[in-house]
Amino acid sequence: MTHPRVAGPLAHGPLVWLVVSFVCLSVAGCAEAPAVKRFAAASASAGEKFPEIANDIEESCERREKYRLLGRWGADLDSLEEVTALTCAEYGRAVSRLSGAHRVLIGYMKALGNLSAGEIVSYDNPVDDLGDAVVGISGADAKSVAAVKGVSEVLAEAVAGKWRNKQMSTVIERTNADVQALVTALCETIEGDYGRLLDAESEAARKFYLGLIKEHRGEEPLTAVLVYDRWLGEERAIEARRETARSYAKVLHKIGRGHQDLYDHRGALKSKDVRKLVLRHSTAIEDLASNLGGAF
Amino acid sequence: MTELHRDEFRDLAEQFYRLSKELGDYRFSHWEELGKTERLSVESMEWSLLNASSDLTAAAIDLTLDDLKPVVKRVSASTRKMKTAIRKASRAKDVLKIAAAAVELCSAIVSGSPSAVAAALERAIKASS
Repeated sequence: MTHPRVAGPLAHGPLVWLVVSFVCLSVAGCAEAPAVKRFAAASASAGEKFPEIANDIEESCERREKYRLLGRWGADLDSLEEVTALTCAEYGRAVSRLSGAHRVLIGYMKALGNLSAGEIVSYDNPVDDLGDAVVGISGADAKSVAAVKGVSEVLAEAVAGKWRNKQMSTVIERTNADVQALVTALCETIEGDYGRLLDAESEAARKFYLGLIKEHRGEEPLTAVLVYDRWLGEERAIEARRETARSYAKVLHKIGRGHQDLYDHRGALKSKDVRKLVLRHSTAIEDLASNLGGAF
Repeated sequence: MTELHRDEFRDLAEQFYRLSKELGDYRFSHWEELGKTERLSVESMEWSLLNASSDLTAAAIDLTLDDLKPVVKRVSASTRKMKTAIRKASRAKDVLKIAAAAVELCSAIVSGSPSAVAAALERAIKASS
């Protein structure tokens, strides 16, 4: 039995598939991995919480100073804000520098994500032009057009993907040590230093509230109970801030770990294993980020 | 005088904080035994220690950020390079056009149509130039 000859590229199936196979084999994995893009996006999104945490370094100083002035020294209420702001101005300068360093990290992650996704490169036009061109070829049917488009997309991706991977692996290789140093320093500051400032604030609250309770509970027991409640509320707020800072430090650790994984596998950025690793970090960052709200 | 490292600032901050807290524990647990003047005197020391602890922590943050300066500079430079690389992607786009034209030519050859081959060849030459 003879079959009618089908016009167009599909009529030469084996040859077309040979081209497709060759192109596919020339690229390690045909599909573009959105993993780095998602990793970068998750990092940047979680990073939006950082300014609030950093700002609280100065605000914690102001709260601590208010406890001291109000409790011990009979502060002038009119000038309280002014005095505390002046005392804590140094902390404000540290916050600006800290936020700047963090912005650099997030800016880097965003750029890495953009580079990995090749957002500026549009494949649509060449591929569509090609599709139109194939339609113009006599005898070409819809299947043929689709097949040729498919091949060209793979080839286009192969060219762009290789170019991007080369750029990415170079950047990752050169920057990893600095990213790790930056992440470590930010973690030390947010988890350690800010944590210690919150300890000091908590102790200041204790000195203020417990001092008042001890001094006045004899004459005003009900007021003492209310003050005690207020103190517990302040303690809960401090604990919530501490928890947010801890969670954000975990985000930073994940960013560092994810970048380290990219560095360790920089020669195979498109491999399934790397994609899995990076996606795992992305998911962890997204989960942590969803629990960052509420404390500030 | 030997300059202190940021971790030494942190250690001192922690010790001062603990001292302040222990003095507070003492003052509150001996509230009745201590006279008002003594309480005020102990409390004054507590606040001094607590403030010193926080100032040392702030100094540790400052030192950390000082140490970070060259790191931040290099990461910023990397980011700038990446942005440049992304802009250069337009060159990659040109490569894509050439690749697409090559595939078109390939499919034209496969289709067996001389006019399609001629047209595709012309486009491939234009894309490459």
